Amino acid sequence: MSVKLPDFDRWIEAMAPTMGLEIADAHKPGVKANLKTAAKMAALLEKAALRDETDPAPVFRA
Amino acid sequence: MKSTAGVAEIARAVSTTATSARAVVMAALGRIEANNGRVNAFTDMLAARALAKADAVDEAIRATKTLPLAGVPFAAKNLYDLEGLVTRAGSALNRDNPAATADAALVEKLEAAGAICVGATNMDEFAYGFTGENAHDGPSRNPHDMTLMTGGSSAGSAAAVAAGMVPLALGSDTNGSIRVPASFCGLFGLKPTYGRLSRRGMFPFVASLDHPGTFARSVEDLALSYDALQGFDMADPAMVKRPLEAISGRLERGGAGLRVALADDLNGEPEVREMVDLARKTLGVEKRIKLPDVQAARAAAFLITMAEGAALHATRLRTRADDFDPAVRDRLLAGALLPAGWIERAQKFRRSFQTRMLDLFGEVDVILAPSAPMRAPKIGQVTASFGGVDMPLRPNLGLFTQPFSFIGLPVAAVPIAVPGRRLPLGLQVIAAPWREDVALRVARQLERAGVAKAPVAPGFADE
Repeated sequence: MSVKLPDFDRWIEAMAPTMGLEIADAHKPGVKANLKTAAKMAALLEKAALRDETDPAPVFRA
Repeated sequence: MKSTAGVAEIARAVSTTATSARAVVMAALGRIEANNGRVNAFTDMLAARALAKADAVDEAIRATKTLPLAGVPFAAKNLYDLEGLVTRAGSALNRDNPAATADAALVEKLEAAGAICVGATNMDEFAYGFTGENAHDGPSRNPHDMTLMTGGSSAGSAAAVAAGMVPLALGSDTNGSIRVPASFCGLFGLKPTYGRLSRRGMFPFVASLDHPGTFARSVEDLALSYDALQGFDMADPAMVKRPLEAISGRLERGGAGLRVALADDLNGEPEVREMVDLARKTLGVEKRIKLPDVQAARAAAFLITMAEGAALHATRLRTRADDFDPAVRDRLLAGALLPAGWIERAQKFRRSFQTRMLDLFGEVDVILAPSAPMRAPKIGQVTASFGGVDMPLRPNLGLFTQPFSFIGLPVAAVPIAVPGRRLPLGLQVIAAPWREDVALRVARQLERAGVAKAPVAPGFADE
């Protein structure tokens, strides 16, 4: 799957302080690897067809 | 009682005073003491409490009280509250918390039925993992081969049952944390419908996905414990008020009259396909069914887990990031940085996927799929071949379990013994919401045919 991935260093630099998080240099490779996985998952999800009218299911009822 | 004795056998023996709950608990404590150093299943023991409860059970039996789980020792994953113990959820961070002041609802339920909790079990930190490895407590080891992973996150619970320390254990399953270790350790497991069992007194992970459930070595044992665990509890907002639906008397109907199909899109490594084929042939299943957008379902569950998990731990990530298990910390830190739009889309997709999956249950009653894409990996292994492509192990062990817990479906995890293969492999028997009975009936049919079995691991079974 070819996905155009963002610049994860810039992402961390912008978002972490917004969330009040200090991400140590030693933790950054792991965080970047996980962001990359998440970005691929989001790209996969973006391809799924969804209707505007579909309600989300944050509290699932079976 | 021998290490191989199950829930039903023990309850029968204690109820008829052929043995006492005290003798059963003493034997279980002895086996744990002898073997826990090797297996690393338990992190906390409750010997004094367990013996006191055993005496109370023996007294109740003498007073002719009926207790369906009389004297059955069980373990609880260490995210279940146990009065007097700190609920660590596999973390170092929670060790500073005060001890629990009451037992979790499901511990109460089992003990009310006469079962006895003997201790708390090891797990992936904060339930965020499928490996059974833990940076603070060390890995749980697979009793079938001590060099292999148990799977997680309910790692010690699975190891304890597979090693014959106890016949029953409580676990939890957010994305596959009962079904993956049940597969790797060769056990039966039950992840009931989302909203079926109370989560009161359980340390959360992803509130909209967390399911409590159990491990055992037979379908009858799973059903007996499940019957004792049911019951509405308004303290859990996800719980749905339903009548008690006891199923232990209905297992022998097997799959008769049920429409069973094989999921077409979840295949796994060759030995996994071989296992599924054996189960399929045993049940006489010809129908294959295509699941709608199953990869996207898994992706959505993955993103919701990252984001909800990160939100739960946000304060700890800000103040004590270094105290997390590194593998968990980096996933949670990344989860704290995800855009809201991704998560909203994932939750919308969840509704759409649920609708389409429920339509499928108009055509079939049961869907079969493997529990894991591969057999138990080596402890410490970080990558594995998935369809010939080398990929990180950790995020991919839940590939086949995530789509079903995502929409709360009940699943029985069934250990299939393929002739000539040393290790068992797990099959998911997936049913429509609230049809745990159907999932367990099909599991029972496989067990009765001799294809599904969960023996105590060789080397741990009493002569």
